[in-house]
Amino acid sequence: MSEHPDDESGIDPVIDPELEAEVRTALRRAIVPPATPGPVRDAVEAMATNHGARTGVRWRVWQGASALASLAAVVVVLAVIAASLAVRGGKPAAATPQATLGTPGPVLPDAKPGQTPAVGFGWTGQGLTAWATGTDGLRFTEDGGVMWSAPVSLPAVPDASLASLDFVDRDNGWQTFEALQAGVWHLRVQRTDDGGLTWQTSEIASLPDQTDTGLLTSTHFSDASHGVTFVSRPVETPGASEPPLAQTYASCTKYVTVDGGATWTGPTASVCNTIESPRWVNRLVGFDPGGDASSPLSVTTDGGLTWRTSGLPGVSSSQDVFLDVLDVDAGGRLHLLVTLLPASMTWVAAPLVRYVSVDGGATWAEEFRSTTPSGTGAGWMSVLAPDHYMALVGGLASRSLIESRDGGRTWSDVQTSGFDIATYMYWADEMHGMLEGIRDCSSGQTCDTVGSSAGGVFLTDDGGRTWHQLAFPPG
Amino acid sequence: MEDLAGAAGRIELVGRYAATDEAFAALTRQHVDGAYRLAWAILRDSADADDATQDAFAIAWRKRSSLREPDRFDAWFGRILVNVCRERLRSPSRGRVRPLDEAPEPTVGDSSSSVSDRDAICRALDRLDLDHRIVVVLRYWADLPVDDIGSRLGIPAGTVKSRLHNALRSMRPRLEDPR
Repeated sequence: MSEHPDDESGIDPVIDPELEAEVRTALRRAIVPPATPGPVRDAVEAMATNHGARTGVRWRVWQGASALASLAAVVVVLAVIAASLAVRGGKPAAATPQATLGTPGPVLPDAKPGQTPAVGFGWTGQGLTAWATGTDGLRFTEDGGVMWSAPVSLPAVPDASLASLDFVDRDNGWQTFEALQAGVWHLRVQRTDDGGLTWQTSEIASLPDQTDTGLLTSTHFSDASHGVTFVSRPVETPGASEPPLAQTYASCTKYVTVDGGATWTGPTASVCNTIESPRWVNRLVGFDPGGDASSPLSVTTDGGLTWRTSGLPGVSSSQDVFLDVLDVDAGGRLHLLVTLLPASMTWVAAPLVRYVSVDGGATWAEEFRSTTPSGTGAGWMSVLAPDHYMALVGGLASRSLIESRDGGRTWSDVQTSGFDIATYMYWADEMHGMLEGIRDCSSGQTCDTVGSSAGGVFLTDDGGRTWHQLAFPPG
Repeated sequence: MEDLAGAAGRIELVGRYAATDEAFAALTRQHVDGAYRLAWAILRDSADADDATQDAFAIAWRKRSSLREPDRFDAWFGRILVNVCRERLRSPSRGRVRPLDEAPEPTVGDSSSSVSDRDAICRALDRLDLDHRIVVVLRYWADLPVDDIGSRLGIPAGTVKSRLHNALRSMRPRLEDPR
């Protein structure tokens, strides 16, 4: 909204001291933050302990206790030998199942003593093949989490921040990282084509450090050969003595590889509007939501090489558009579910609008309108199958998930247990999903160590009814 | 706001260790509570404040080598934090509709003037655009000096004052008549 045309004249305006005092008093009375939640404190502590190192596909997935890392490093040396037998053969380890799914009844939210909680997880996009990382290395499953390979170690990224880890199948994967050396950002990728046994390093780009806010990068591979890396840099405000707070990350370029990451070409201009990474429906289809009502929607159907940018019909300038999910039906049509809110945040249920595109996202037409489920704070929304959506509900322990089986027209509760708050959710198919679950330590529960009690990776094989924390080994 | 204002001991800590990783880790630990409080004050949503706090520290770690003047850690980190909060307010992944049990109490039919006042100030704040809202929170909730706010936002002090002026002018009628 823009009710206040900014007066940048530099002339000191007169500010009513009585009104200032009234606002100050009212704000302090109205805004009383709660205590820092345990998981937040634990996550920051984990960063401090590991000097900012992140692990896994989402760094916010709770990292395992770093004290285990050194011990695990020794174990990994031995494990690699065993893993080489298991992984080189292209089969799961012949050991006992490392995790069990589908057990009816309440799930256990905590990893047991001696277990290694999974700190990262990703579906490859190939059936039920997925990877997971713990402090003892990288493992694979080809059956949605029942059988797991023995761990192999991930290569170290000294003096660099791990930006992403991703596999498109059991063999081909990449981890990208950023290193700032002598005022230059080096974006590098380590790639493997043998399930993590060997890795080769190549450089995506080297860029001078222009501001103290650095870079935002996102790498995505559509198959074993083709990948793109998006690099966003803050937009400078001319004349500002320092990088401004209100900077955007609209300056976005992309680098492309066609040989699995060995060589990269670029930069070329690309679409990348927000601080968030593009969201991917599958290996080829993704969308960049834009930042607000004035930022257009961008859709790619070729793994990020090209983007179609468009506005949505029927949205007024006084509304903010929140893009929830992009859904692809059997006919190749794209369906987009968005929430429309007044430009000022509101506390009431808001319209949900579903649009359809028959031209790959170039143009959109409204399909129908409904409303967000009353009384919920629907957050992260995912597509399980065409017209089958699931959404996280923040902060309500007894009501963590809601779902719609009619494309967002109507919603119902999904009864769950095992975690208090879920933050991210991804599905391999209509039955197999993962989420990042967190215990609400502020509610009196004991959440003493990161990765063991506070939360972790949870899997389901029954469409979200039961969830089991992923930890190695079982027991 | 004490946690982000820069206590002398904290500055000494940075100077002593010349912003090594250990010193930086110590600073991040010391700033957790203050960062979370400020993030919550700007976002007024626990889940968003959780994410924003962690994002800010992650970014700070990535960019720690760019902290060229260690005694400016507070302003340096404060800018990162507020920037993350601002992006989060703009972000489509921000929670859209709060659970009813997190929403402010309704003012209609509510006899509590304090609840009504709280509702009015929150609504008045929500009506402001992001730039004005952040300036108001930093000035009147966090109690930061105008110059300090300007430094964190990368804008002149005069612009901070004009934004405060415009924001208060906009908020006044809503505080006087909260309907």
